[in-house]
Amino acid sequence: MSEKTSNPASIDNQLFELFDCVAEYQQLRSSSNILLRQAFFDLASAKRSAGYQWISPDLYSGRAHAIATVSIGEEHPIDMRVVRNNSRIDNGNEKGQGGDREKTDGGLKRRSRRRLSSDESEHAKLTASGDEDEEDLPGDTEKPDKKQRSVAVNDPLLWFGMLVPPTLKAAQSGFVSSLDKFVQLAQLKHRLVQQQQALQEAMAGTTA
Amino acid sequence: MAQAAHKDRTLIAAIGDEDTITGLLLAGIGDIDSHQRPNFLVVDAKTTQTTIYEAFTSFTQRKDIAIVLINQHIANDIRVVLDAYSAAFPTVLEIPSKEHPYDPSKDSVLKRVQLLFGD
Repeated sequence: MSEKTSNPASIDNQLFELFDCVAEYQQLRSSSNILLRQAFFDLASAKRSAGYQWISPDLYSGRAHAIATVSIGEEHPIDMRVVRNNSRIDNGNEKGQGGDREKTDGGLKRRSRRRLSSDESEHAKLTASGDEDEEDLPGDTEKPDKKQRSVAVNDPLLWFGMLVPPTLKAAQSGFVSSLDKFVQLAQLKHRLVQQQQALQEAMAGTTA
Repeated sequence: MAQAAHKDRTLIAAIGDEDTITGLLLAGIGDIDSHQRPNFLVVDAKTTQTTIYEAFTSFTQRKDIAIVLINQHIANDIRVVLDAYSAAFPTVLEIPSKEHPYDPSKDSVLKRVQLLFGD
């Protein structure tokens, strides 16, 4: 370590690495700012067309969970990536409404309907919504439908209704891309801090 | 062991204005845990500095949050706290808002690099 810290060439290399990292950081910042600006513009357009109070965080489903998360790798330097169930956003299936209730209670509903159907067929008619035809299908065909239904429900776009302005979809796409950039920026920040600390130690070693 | 601890950190928290939070919720970061704690805070004109500080402290102390995104103009309200924050996780990242574009002179990452060279 003392050899490393006292070697001017290694300090120069570390310095160049730091500068490269800073340049990369600034470049990433610039690209993320452009994406974000367009996303804000699309969101503003969507609010103008749909109503300012209609698109807001107040409509957030209190039972929803994050579908865009971060995975932190075990390698060094730290690798951070966005983990997203893309099918939940991209396959904007317009089946199913009613939030997580359908997803979590789908099995219970089927079970309850089976019980009811054996006891009271009228209750089954009252509780079943537009999906009753699918509910009555055999188990094999229900599974992909259940997956599609749970996929559709988790798309945050559906909080604002079934027919959303195209600008809102564009805004979502912009924010999704921006989020990827933010995670990359966070990872770069880690690298910068580590390189900075290493450089400080190296410079302290030469002055000592 | 430290890396294993970081594996539990999967959420992205956010402190921002209404448009920023709406956008990030659309991107899918919104979460409410079993204790009914959301991972986001909407800051408006009525939000006090104490509320922002408490939200920031809460997010940085949680073990399931990997990144905290905060609008740069809101970060300026708690700049002292942010500058004192040095933990690796959760990572705090300042982002621009619709009304306040990114200001590189206030970026904490670049300021640290400048300090390194005595600027």
